[in-house]
Amino acid sequence: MRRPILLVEDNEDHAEILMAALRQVAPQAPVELARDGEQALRRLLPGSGAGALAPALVLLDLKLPGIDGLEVLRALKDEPRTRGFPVVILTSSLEPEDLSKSYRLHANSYVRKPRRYADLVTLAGQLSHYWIQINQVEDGVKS
Amino acid sequence: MHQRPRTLRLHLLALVSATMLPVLVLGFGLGAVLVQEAQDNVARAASGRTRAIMTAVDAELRGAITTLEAFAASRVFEERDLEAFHAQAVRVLATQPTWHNVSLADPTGQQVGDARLPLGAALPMQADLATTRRVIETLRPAVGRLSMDPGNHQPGVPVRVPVVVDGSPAFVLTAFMNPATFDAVLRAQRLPEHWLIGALDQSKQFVTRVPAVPFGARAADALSAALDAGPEGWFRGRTLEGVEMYQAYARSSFSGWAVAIAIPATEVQAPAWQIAGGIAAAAAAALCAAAALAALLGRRIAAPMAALTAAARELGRGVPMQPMGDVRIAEIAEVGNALANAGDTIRNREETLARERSQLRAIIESMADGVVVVDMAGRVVLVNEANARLFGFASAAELMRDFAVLSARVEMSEVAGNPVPPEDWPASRVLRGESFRDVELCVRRTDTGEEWAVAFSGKPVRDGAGAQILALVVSRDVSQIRRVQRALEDLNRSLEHKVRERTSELEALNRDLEAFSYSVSHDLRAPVISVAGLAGLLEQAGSEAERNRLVQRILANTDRMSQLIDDLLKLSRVASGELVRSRVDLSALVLEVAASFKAARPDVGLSVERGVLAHADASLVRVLLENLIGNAWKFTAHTPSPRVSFGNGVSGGRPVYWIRDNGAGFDKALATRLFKPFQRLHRASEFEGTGIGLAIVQRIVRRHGGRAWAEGAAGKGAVFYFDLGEGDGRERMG
Repeated sequence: MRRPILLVEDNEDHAEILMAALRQVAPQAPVELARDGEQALRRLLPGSGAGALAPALVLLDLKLPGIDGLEVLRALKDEPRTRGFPVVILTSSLEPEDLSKSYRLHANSYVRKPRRYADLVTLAGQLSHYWIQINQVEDGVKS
Repeated sequence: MHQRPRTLRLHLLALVSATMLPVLVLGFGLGAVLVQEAQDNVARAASGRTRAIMTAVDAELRGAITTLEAFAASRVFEERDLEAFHAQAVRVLATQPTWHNVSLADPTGQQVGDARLPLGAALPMQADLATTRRVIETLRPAVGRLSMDPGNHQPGVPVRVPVVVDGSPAFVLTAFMNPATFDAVLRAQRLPEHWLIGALDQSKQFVTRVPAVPFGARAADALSAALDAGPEGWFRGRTLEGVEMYQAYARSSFSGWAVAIAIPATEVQAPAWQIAGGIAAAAAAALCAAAALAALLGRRIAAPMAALTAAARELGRGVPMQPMGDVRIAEIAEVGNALANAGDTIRNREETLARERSQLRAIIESMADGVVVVDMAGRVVLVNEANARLFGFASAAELMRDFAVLSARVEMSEVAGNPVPPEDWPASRVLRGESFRDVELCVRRTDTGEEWAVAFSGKPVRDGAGAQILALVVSRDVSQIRRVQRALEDLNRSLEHKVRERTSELEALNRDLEAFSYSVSHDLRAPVISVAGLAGLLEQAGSEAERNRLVQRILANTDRMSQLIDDLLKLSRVASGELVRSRVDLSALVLEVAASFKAARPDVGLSVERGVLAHADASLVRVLLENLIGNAWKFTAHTPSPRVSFGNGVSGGRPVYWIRDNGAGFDKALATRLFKPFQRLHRASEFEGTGIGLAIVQRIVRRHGGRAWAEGAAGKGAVFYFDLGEGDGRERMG
């Protein structure tokens, strides 16, 4: 079974564009969408709902209504079961502080949303390939 | 001992007396000698007289003896012829008027013949037989004492001579002399009246005396004693009449008789008194003359001296000295000149002093500081107007009159507040010898309660010997300085406070700005990314419908960008520009703003408290209300029977206003993030918005110096509170 990519994004347009790009570069990978931080945690944390998700990759926007991206990141990295999930911050923020905070909270990567769609597709390809391949290797090792 | 000074006249009199005294002593000594001599002269004269009278008396007796001796040589006695004798005796008696009788006796004293008795009559014994015996023994004549003629019974003095016949004494021939004979001799002396004179026989019995004494009277005791002492002399003693008189006597060696003269004391002393009187008169005259001279001289000296004294007094009073006029005494004239010079010097010095005093006075009067000088008895010697004004008196004269009015009118205390009793007031301290500078005390008038701060400086004033004579106190009103100082301190404090406030405001603003730029970077980039991405999707879109959808989405994003830019402009506008407070009817404004929202959604129930007034910037408050009411409208969009209300209350002494809704509410935990720019607690799909509205609200409230906060819970609606700072409350009070 293929592990899904969880996209956490409140902006509908961005979500659509990213999902289109992911479909384009990794048509075989299932992509799930969380519309805010609360939704994302409900999907990932145990006891927070039936069938907790074990995603191959979490693409996390920082600017979210309610619980924002950094809080979601902290929650995931605090929890031993979810600590191993690769979390890539995908944001439009230019703030160096956001970058440093993210890394302090053990984000696996920090990527700024590129403006051009072509660049976005390239980025999506690189990310999905890298993290999905790693996951497959790890899964292989485990099995 | 200090003696009272005596006048010049007294001194001169003393001088004259001192010089006159030896003269007077000499004069009186000389007088005494002269008086003595005068008395001696009288004595000598009296003695001479007595001797002369004695000689005269003796001469009478000698005459009688000579006559008797001649008779005794008669032949009748050789023949013892008593008859012849009787006849011859009668003839002799007739020739001798001073004789009473002539008698003859035998050597035993038995009379044998008496011229007065007839021849042959019986004859008695002779009287004074002692004389008879002496004549017989010595064969020399002798004078007897006053006796009674035994034959004739008449008083008389027997003068006897011996009659020698054949070489042996045969008879004694006696002549009985009449005492009146001697009385005539004495009277012939023409002695002055009041003198006494007497002739005395050998037995000190008066033969005769002027004035007369009875027969047989004897010399008084004084004379008797003198007669025993010597043949002649001078003495003072009582007479038979008992009168004290000067007496001179002389005794005859021939007859054994004596003559005595008594002179009244007054007559003896008269010349002496005359001399003494003369001397006394001369002395008195000399003394008077000397005294008069002294007085005259004294006056001649004293008059110019008095003029000098008057001039000196005038000088003392400061009146210029009049010229002394003609002064005859060089020393006094010199003193006068010296005094005149001294007067000029004093006048010059006084003028200089007066000039300096008036300069000093002017300086002291023109001083802004109060000056008071007090003597050691606490009396005010000098005080200037500034000092009087400083303590609230109308004039310096009022203070000068009585310094005690000061303590009756004001109280003093230390700056710390401890009261200072009058005995520790600055003047009292200086009187005790203290010196100090700028001691600040609080002075309070007891009648008006007015208070002010005074800085005192004090210093004792000493004389040349270092003894304190005055106390000087200078005082300065430092109230204004203190007020300014306090105001300055207050200002500094408030300035610091303001700076802190402004700093924190600036910091908040800075934080806002940072957050803002952060959010802008995100929120402005988001639609750009959307547009770019959607445009990319558009390139690959297969269907016409898909393309249309993407184009709509791109347009929506550009609208959103435009909206964002508008809101940012609004935010920047409320952040800048001048804040002008005026009276704003919030109730009316809420109704007015709500009306535009109500037009779109009339189902929202609106309740507005009426007559709520504020003092604030009207245009900013309108923007604030637009945002809050807009929010309320927005978050009640999914609420059945939505309600929005407006009201006010008081919190922390300030009026507080609120907008309440029963809409979506928010998570309590997220309340603090509400007012941050671009913070959104809800997904854009649920409630539209740029996230700037509450940031604008916050900015407007802050600019008024107020605070905005919210209460609420998810799904239970929200209340947004705000106040409009101190400027609002104050105005409403007024």
